[in-house]
Amino acid sequence: MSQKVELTTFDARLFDGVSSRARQIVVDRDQQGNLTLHFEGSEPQIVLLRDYITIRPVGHSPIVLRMESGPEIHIAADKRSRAAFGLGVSKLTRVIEAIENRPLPVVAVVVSAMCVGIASYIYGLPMLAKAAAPRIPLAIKKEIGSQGLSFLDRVMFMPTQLSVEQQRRPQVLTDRLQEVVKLYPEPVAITRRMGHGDGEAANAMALLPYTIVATYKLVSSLNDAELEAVLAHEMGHLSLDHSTQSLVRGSAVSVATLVLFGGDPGVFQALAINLVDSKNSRDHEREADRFALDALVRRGSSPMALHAALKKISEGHEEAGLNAYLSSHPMTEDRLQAIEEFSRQAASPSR
Amino acid sequence: MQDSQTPPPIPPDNVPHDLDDRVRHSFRFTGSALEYFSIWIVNTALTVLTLGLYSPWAKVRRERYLMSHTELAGSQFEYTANPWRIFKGRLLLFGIFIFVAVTRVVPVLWLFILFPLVALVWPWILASALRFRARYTSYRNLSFHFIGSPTEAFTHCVLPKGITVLTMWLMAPWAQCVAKRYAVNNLQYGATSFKSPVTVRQMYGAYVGGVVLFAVGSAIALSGTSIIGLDAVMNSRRVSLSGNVPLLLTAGLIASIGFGLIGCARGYIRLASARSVWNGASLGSYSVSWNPSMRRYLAIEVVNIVMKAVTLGLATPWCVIRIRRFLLEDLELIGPRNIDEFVGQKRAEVRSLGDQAAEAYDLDVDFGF
Ligand SMILES: [Zn+2]
Repeated sequence: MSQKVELTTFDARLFDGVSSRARQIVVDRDQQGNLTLHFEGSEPQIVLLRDYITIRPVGHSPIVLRMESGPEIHIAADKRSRAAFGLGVSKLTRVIEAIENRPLPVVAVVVSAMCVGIASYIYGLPMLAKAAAPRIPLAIKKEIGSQGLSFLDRVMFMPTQLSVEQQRRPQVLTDRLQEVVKLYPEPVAITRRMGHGDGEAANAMALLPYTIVATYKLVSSLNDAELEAVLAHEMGHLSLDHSTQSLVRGSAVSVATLVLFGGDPGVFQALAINLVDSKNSRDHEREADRFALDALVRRGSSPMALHAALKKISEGHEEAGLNAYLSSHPMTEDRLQAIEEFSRQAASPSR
Repeated sequence: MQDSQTPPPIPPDNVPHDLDDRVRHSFRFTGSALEYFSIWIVNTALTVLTLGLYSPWAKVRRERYLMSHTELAGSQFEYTANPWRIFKGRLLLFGIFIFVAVTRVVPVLWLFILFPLVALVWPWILASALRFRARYTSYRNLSFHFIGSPTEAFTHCVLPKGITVLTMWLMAPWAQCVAKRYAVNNLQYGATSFKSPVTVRQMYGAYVGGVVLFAVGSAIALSGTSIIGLDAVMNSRRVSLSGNVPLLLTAGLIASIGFGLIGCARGYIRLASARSVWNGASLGSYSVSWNPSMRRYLAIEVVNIVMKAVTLGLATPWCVIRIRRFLLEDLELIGPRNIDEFVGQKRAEVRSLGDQAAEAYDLDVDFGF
């Protein structure tokens, strides 16, 4: 043999695959890919490296040479053994390993993952919600709505103390609006009492898929035009299916946290969904306002009624800074301005 | 080619086999938090980038790291699962999850048609999850095996759980005992079966301590979450709310303390029951000794929860390593000096029908947990 055969020698452990016995051996690897296994007290064996799968170490685990239904050879991983055996694995593994072992790629991957995460959060989630909301069957929306109402009845609402005539006012006004907006299913307006004394709330809310709840204080403190404007706003929420969209977003966030972190994320998830949703709900308020203004104009009512109603509702509620970001109705000033703008344009002869 | 694929005959060794020479083989965990952090962060990032599709590959890397840094008598454990198999299994489990989430909304449909259907499929998935995990965990080139059947999974896990619900959780310790026996006594290393000494009485003991912690914790957590929940409901239903940040944060803090105690309760039950399942378990002529301190365990768990919260989850790898090191440092296998009595042969590949099912059932038999 003219060519010089270079040997690389490693201490190794061999497991035969039929018993749990460990054999301390010495492995010689030559350039041709032959392995010579030296056992203590018996003849050496020559095997071919290509008959073995080389399992790359993860962390500082050993290099494993594995033969299907055969023995396994474990060799401590160091620079020398990596160089001698670190071949024959998929590109993906090598790329991932390269990323894991250097700080810069780690940072790059984390940053890009954050970008993707944030982007799918800001743009993907609302798009998903808008696309999925109309596809959810009405039966399911009805079930959610009625369960939601009975939950709120249990924890938050009290029976209204309005006269029968006052109680019917929201429904009468809603029916009048329905003549122009023609929602399906037809909205049902009910009244409930919420909060006591100074904390009593003058407000309205839209429940899936056709219920509008107006509070006692709202009905008793607004005149017909103002109440109509608020109801038109709530019909906007119904028409644009905002509640379903919030629901889809919440579920998507839950599924995502489940996939990413497994188990029960608990409080943090609740907080995340809550924080997240406030930005979207501000968009929803703008959309619902816009819907209400159009509806009012078509009914021949003054859009400024919504302005007056908003002012009355927000009285005593001061919002600033972080509070404004967290609350779902923080935009009173902006919303008032938008309404003024709209009614100026509606009143101007050019339009 | 065929010739070279047959394994070479391994020459016999001449080590004396003295069965009376019993020693304590200690488990060692050699992983480091820093090393694991880089694996974990890349896993998490790639999972986000691929919108979750990478998660089976992430799982294999994580398990490979944790197993191959677990050492007994100089040899490391190995995790040899193929991510594609896990991927297919997860698709199935995800389908069931979506199905359940959607149909839950319509109670009548759920109760009378779909719930029984899921209950029938579930044991099958559960048994397969245990089989999958065992089959692809190996030590010294011998893999573990799980020989429990889906029928047994039904009679030992699903049925007892149903009875537990019907008896207002009074039978929960008994159900857990039966399920753990199913998970452990059907587990084999090579061709040798584990045998757990766990008794129903021990399980009741484990649960009593947990229930006390749980009662206190849930009272606190409930008061915290109901504030947050109400706030969320009011926000999404468009009720004007003050958007009170201090209130929200205080509620979050209260809830966190409550969840911490609930976590402690769960931790208490987990460790106490795992201890009674594994301490004194036998495997051939070996026996398992495992008696980690409850106080240190709960302290580590609490610190872990706090660290995860403070670092927004970034401390997770550190927590994983810490708890694993603690749990393994006390684990011992007592028996003959040379661990060479176990035999077995390579068995057929198995399918994964949702690898997470066993985790969901708290039946992971990974060294006591
Ligand atoms: Zn609104």
